[in-house]
Amino acid sequence: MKRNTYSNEVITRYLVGALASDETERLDELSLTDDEFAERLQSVENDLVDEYVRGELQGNLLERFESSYLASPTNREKVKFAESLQRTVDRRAGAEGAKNAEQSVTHDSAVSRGYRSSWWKGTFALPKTVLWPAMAVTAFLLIASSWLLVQDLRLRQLRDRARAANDVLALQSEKQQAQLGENQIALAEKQREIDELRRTLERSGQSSETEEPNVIPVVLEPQTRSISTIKTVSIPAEADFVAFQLELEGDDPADYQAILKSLPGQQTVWKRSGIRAQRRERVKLLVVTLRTRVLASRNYILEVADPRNAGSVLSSYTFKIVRE
Amino acid sequence: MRPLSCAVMTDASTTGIQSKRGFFNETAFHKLLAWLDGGEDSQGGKYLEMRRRLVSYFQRKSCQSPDDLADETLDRVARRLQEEGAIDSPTPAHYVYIVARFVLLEYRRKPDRDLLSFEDLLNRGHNPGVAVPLRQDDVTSDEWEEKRLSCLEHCLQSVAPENRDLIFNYYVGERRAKIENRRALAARLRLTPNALSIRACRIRSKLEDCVNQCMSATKGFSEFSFINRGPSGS
Repeated sequence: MKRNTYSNEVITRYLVGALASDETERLDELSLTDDEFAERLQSVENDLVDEYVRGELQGNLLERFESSYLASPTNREKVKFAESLQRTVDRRAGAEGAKNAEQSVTHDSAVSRGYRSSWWKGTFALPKTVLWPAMAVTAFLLIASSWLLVQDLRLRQLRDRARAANDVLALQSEKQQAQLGENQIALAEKQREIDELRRTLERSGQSSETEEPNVIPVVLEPQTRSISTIKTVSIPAEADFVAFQLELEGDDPADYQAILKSLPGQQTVWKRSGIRAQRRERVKLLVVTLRTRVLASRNYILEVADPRNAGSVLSSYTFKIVRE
Repeated sequence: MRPLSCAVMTDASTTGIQSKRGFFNETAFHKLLAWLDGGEDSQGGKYLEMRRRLVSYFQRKSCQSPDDLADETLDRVARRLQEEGAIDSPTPAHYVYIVARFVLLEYRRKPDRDLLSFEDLLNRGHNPGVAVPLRQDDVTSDEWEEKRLSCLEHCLQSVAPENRDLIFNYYVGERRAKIENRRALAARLRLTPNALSIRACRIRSKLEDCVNQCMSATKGFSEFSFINRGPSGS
């Protein structure tokens, strides 16, 4: 069983119901059977609720939290408890800060009042032969302490920079862990797709053990201004699936939506959400697989959209299908 | 959905633990406690923890009555234990999970699954999605909030001073400051960050249960917290 391979981000997505069903099931099981995971789940849930209370959740996660997590009355009670806890902690922190400041001021003024009169009196009562060297030593000490103060500040800055660098590294490590979790999910999704294909083939009377599905791989490039560059894809009669490999441009969401539209008229003929991109070196690739029976001999446009951003189209690819 | 009035508080004299509702007999309940303990004596701790996890599980599945479903699951396990004498499973928790999945499937097949129980209706007024006080006219949300704060103050006094300090120091600050605080706190207590978060989480759970009990004990407030509170509140 996988243990501790789940990043906080994956657990958070689980809590707001944003994970794929097979991965959700795996985490369901762990939440009941694995002591360590059960405790971590509780801890991540507390942090999530606290972040919501402090207004630190944003975007998709905030939407999910409000629509899914807060649907449960018990979870709403958790939020109310978190608000109270936060108020109590803030109140105490404020009171302690004020108390410390007050104590410090009272102490300093009391000490300095008593000290000042005797110090001045004592100092100027000294003979000049003692007074001048004493003042010179005092001046030296003042300069030395200023120099030390500057050095201290410089070292503090260096320390802060080192800490910041350390935080960046920790963040990167966290992101890598999250990526690992996401890759596992993507792998599980692919496995599910393969299983589904196998089942379909079995249903249609073919044995998946003896015969693999016939897949036509097609590489598509983003649409340019010239319509003359349209790619022609020939599909043999025995082909079962077409796998389009799309090269993505720009920086981008984790999940994509692919929409296939017929041309002209732009009528949607096929759509799929939650497609994950794969990274090969510096290139981001998206593989979109669909059944050949969806396609007729005509022109199409395949649009890649960002489901988080109201389905705004990120890239589009035109091609012509020729059925053989 | 089973009305809550079916619930019978059954004393398990040897452990002091109570089941939220009556198993078909007390021997079955004792057998269940021993089986969950797996040879060690947790004083009912394993049962309470398993029930808490089950309630959370059914909550995450958006079930209307997660407490009832958790009890139904444990009820079935207890019945099976008594009938068969033993259950063949890698761990008790794995078997409980399998039963919980069946209970969930049955719940989802029920045509009336989204109907609220009488108690739910009482607690939620006419809007099923929103929890409201039973006597809303008598209690404003500010009063409700003040009550919760005073319950929390009371509950904080009931925990050990070192745990109280831990909670304050763990939750104080925002974003970066909070991370720094936690790092320093872990170093001061000679704990790993993970061990610190687990300790803070346990104290928080106790506080949450305590606040829920305190709120439900107040006259004029909804029994909502009572119905939904975790097992340690039972």
